[in-house]
Amino acid sequence: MSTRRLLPFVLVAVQAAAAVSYAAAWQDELTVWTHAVRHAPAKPRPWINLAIAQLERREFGAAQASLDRAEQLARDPRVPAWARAQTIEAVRRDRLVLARAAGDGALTR
Amino acid sequence: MTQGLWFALVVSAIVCLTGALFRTTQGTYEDTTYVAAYQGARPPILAFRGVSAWSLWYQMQHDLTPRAVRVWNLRLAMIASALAGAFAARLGLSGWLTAALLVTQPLAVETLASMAGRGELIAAIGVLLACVAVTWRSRWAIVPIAAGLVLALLGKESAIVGGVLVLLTCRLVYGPRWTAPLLAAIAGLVWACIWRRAAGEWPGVHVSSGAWLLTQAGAAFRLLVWAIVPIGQTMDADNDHLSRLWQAAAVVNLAAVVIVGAALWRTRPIVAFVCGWIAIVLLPRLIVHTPGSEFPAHQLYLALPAIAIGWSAICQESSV
Repeated sequence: MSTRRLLPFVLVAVQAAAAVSYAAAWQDELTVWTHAVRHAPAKPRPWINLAIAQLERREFGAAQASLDRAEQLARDPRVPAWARAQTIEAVRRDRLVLARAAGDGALTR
Repeated sequence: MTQGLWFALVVSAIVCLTGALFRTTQGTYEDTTYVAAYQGARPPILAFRGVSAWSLWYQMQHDLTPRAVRVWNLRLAMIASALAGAFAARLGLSGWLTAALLVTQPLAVETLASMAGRGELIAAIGVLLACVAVTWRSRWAIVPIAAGLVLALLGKESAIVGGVLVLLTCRLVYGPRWTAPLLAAIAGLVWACIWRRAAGEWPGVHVSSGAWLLTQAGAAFRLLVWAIVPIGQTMDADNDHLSRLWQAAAVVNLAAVVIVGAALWRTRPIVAFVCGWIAIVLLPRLIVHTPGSEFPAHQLYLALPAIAIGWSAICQESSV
């Protein structure tokens, strides 16, 4: 088979493999946001959502660390001011939930 | 034999993708927001996003599960892929290859895996139905064209570009007499976007048009690169940390897509058509401010059929 005839099959095969690999990141909230922070480590929002996913799994230490990271990143001057305010408010709110969950031993939100 | 091989390849790809997508155990991304929004009374169908809202509301009434959402999204994606394949075949390209490239597009995974993608899929089905109907040389084609465009708008309001895409298809299929209506429609779309450019801003949240253009151009160009070279895609890309150089280069590159498309219209009409389709889909995104909604991959779904058609054209080295 010539290269030109092989090209379509190679294209589809490569795309399909990439799609199946990427779909594995969409299993649940934890896999989604773990994938997101790995690929966008300087963005606050994925860290907040990762913290929420970790909270739901009662991984309180990891959730605390994720919230700390989100707040630290939100203070980057490249983050728009309105997004910074929203992020800091979300972090404050989720810290309260975390404190309540860690204290009660049960997750409430 | 080749047709059989294609069929086997497409089915295998769908089976693998299905397996990967259906391992989900919970809603992801923005699903919680959608569940909260559609738990009440039946939403009106005859409104922007009416059909997509109704379809999600209907699923909620019948035991909505994350897996069920993805099943329906995958079904809709297969319909969109079949329509894209039919459209490509009407243009003299490989329908199987186009359908296979769209259904296996990695950037479409986000569209399939989340409730937010439902509207994008319905909008794409409507627009593709209308464009397929354009290729039927019959006066009755106006019925499916109109129905397709209405369905698209009932899927998502961003399908407002569908009318311009239909005129672009008319220009491709029926020749230069459609150039003037197409250019008028593009001008109208630009005017409408500028008139409503602050539509997505919240009180107290204002962005300048220049900054918005740079950010969105950077995000759009990165998504287009991922659509062609599927490495590094993610569901929440960091658009704030793109360098000014990347953003400026993105604006230049997107402008080049338009210029190259216009220049190639006589010699490579399919490539020009693909460039025009992508530019028209991106146009509202670059002008209308939606600071609360960055440019996620599922909002690029309407551009993916054009990319699949472009690859088909390259593979076949043909032109209309």
